[in-house]
Amino acid sequence: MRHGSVRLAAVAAISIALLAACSGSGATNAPAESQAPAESAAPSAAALKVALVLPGPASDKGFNQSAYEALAELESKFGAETAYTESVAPNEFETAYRDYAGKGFNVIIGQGFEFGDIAAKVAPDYPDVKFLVTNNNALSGPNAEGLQPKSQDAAYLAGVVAGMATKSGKVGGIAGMQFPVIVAQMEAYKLGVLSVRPDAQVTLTYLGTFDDVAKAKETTQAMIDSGIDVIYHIADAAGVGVIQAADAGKILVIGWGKDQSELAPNAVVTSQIVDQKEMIVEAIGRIVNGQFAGEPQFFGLDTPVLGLAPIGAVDTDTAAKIQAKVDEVEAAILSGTTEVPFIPEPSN
Amino acid sequence: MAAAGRMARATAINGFIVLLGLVVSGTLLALTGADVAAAAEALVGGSIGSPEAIRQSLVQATPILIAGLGVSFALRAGLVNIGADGQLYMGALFASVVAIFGPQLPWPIASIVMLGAALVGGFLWGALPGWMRARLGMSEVITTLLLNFVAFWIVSWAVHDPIRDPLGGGYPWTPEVPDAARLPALRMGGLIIPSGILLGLAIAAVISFVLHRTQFGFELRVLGDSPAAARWSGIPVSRRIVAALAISGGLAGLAGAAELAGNQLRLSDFFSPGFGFTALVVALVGRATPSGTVAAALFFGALAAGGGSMERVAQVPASTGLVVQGTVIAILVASRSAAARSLASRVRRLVARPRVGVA
Repeated sequence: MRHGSVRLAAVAAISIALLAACSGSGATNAPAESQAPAESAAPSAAALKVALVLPGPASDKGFNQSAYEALAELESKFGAETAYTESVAPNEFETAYRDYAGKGFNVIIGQGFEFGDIAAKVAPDYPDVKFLVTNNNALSGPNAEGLQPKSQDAAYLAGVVAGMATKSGKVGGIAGMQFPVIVAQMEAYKLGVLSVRPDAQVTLTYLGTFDDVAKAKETTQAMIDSGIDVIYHIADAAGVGVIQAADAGKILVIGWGKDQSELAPNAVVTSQIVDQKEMIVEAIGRIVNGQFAGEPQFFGLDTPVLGLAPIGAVDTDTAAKIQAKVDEVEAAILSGTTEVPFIPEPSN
Repeated sequence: MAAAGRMARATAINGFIVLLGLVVSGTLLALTGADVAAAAEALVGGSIGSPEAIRQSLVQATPILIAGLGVSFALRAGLVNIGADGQLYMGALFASVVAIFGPQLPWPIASIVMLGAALVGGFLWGALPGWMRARLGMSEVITTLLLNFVAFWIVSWAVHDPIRDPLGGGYPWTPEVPDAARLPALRMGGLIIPSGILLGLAIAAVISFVLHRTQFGFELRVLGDSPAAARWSGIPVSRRIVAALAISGGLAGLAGAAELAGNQLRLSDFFSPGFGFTALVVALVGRATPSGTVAAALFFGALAAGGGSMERVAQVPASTGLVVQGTVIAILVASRSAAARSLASRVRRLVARPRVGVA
């Protein structure tokens, strides 16, 4: 035992000494901190260096991947130099942020609400670096801002589609968890349905998970059994289960995130587009154009961030009728005639 | 004199092992087509290259050091505590409830009360499997492992509902720990030292004292070396088992509070990326001694901080840091196997000069 402890103390001592010796040779690149301000003083396209911090794997075919895909576009569109770190645990948020900021990156993006705290904390130490946090409606500061899609507007349009497409007058909505931004979309969907079909019965359910495909299928089947013939989902990976069960049960379903029609062309009537990639590209474009606001940025139906995928899975007459109504409501939302409320708590 | 020689040799051997681990990892990296030179530079720069890097290494080392000391403590009594992660979660839960929702106290009383609460939370979560082992004969390996899940889901429920931040946009985490309860970082001659790591070093000293200078510690060591001998010599084995696991859990709980108040500030159900399991590795690599655990935790902390930097700079996949970690552990463990020892002694005999005394 004794022997071992001495040995281990020695491991540490030697390794630190060793690493210290090595670090001497790397010293030319080490003082990046001192170079950074000069480089990032004027974030022109030529000097644009964007770092992305992801809370999950970049290949998750969803939330993280959509942000990751923005990087390639930033490179081609703005000539940006990019870097990313995936699957960063919360105890390493600050390490990642300070590391990038110290290495001369002039825009650091955190993918998801939870990066708001750390961006607010780190931002004052790096005034020449811009900190963006997606899906955050609160972050503001001289060099920090949240990016928030007004998803409830698109959800309302999805509701219009469901209300027009239902034959039984019974429609459903299945979501993952009761986060306010999710609840607000479910409630907006319900309002959209009722706006075109005031007598409709709208059933909203929360699974309590974003990835339990089996549970999503069961819930969908239960809805089909109760006579529901259009279902909207905001359930990420579990939503695939909703789509599969709806397809098997020969009812219509509304996708979420990107156009999900290829999953079930005969069942997906439309999809609510919420494009994280476009949101990041838009936000960086504003920075490049010198339009950094320092307050939360909201992205509406007039941006490529939000919208509805083309109507499908119904006959062309019906599709045209639905599309016309959607266009009409969208125009009303954009002109301000129709205002979609943000309802953070379930109404029933 | 002999001790000094032995130490020098051990230092050289361990340095060689770490170097070998890094070389093997580097070779693996090269096979994936990564820029190894850039990766190595980032690994070093990100772990000890600047005061900020050193601070980050120490931040990474803090929870695994304190929880690792807890795991080591139980190991010395012959108990394998695989439940440090759950105990850490319970400690962090108690700490956050007291610090955030309890009466607002001035610094440093708030910190002390919070750490005390974490100690109690972890203590209870460790005493439970201790009691099950001592009274019901249930293996602590199984019970501590399973209690991880129970603790995790209790915390998950808590942060989704009763202690969720009302101003957090519904995000499932607690409000931030108030300023008065936070563990500050201290500036020492150009370095920034998180106070959590100092707490860990102090705990290591206390454990060393308890194990080697008190009857309680002696009894635990006897229990660990030979349960039968402990029973024959009249040591209250059941009570010592409960105490060892409870203290082990208490320290893991304390690790949760140190991470909460020194780094993350909010409790969530993704709070621990497996601290408790890294703590187990740290304890095993450190051979369950306080000083060994300190060394191992500092090394793994530096590896975590440097590994993260390596991912960012050299754009190698996120798992690369873990590969480096795993390789070094594998070589360390292999080097201690009987086979490695006999190989080493054979090599020594081959190159040995005649020497006096025992090696």
